[in-house]
Amino acid sequence: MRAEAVTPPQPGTKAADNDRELALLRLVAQGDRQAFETLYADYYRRLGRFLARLTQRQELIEEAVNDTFWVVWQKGGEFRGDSLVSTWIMGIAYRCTLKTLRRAGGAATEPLVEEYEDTGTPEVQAQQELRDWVGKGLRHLPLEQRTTLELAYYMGHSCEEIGEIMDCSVGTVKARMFHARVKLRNLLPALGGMTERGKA
Amino acid sequence: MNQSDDVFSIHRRVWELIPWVVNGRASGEELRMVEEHLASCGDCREEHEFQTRLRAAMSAEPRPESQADGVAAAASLQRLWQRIDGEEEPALPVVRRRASSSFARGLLLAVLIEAVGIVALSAALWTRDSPRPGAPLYRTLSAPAEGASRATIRAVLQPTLTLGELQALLERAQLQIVAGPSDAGVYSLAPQPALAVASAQPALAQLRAHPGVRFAEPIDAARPAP
Ligand SMILES: [Zn+2]
Repeated sequence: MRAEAVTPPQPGTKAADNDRELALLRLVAQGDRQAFETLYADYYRRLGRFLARLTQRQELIEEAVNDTFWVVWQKGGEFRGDSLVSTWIMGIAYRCTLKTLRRAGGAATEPLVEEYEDTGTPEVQAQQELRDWVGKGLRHLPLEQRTTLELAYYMGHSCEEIGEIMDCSVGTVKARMFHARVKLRNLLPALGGMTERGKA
Repeated sequence: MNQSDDVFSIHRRVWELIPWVVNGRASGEELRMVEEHLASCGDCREEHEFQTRLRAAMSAEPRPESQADGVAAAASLQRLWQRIDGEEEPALPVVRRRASSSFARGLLLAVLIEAVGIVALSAALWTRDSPRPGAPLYRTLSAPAEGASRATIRAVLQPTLTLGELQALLERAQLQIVAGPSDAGVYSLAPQPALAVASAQPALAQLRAHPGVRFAEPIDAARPAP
């Protein structure tokens, strides 16, 4: 089992990415459609993956992505550069998603169970199996804790950035992370010692 | 560092920092503190391993990115443009919008020419504007562009149609551009080579159903009756 194979942190959080995204956003603020489409393409899949942890309904995911980028198009000129562009966009995405989920009702907040293609090396399959197993554990976390973990581990945001995105204090982020970790240790004990883990 | 920090309080601070070390967002000072503590604390070492595995599992993509993702993104983007254009039409100066979309179309066509490998067309053709709003479309339709003998469909695209949308649409309808745009902005489309015998009807229906297509007609049917 190659669980240690860590993928590098996702782009969108580092200074170089931010320079690029900032340049695109400045163009978007001037009504540049090409720049907007580039930014949209950059975020579409990542945002969709992120949102899939918050709802299983594909139409709600698309609605939230497009609500987010509708705001980016309208408000691009108001961005003052106080944070990273990715933090700003993810903050919009979080607010849009909460609004969409509230309107859709409580049942909408079950995360998407992704289906995997059967093809792939045994290593790839093992990785997908692990993902699936962890995904099931994540379903037991409240939305805020799940979002905090996802922002940190999938999107690669810092504690402070997550506070900005979720509009809460750093202390709240830490508390949510703490509770999420404790709960996952109980739900996924085998992840701590991979040798104990048998196939369920 | 506070002298009153005892071993337990350092352990607690390190435990709290572990996720931010794992995702690469801890500061240099935090990282040093964690590494130093990990060397002597089995509990934190184990927690670090747990979080590392958790992050690896959470950041792995469920499947490689495919053509379908691109098509889904293009379709989704198209719906967003429709919404934006529907809502903001009176707000933004039309001149700027048209200039930007004209630039986009130039780029789009350049990419498409490469993509479908059609014969080089005169550069002047590509810099020409799309049909002027209000200009009658039918008047010039009887003069298809040169080199379009394979073409089965003529179509006029909306100025707002983007590269991604057009690619997705052509992919879905299994068409390629063989010539165009003419002075009136008419494109000649043909089935992809492998499908040359297929009827133009399903593709035509897909074009007509697409909001980014202003007009589409089968080329034979367009001929004026004698
Ligand atoms: Zn410790």
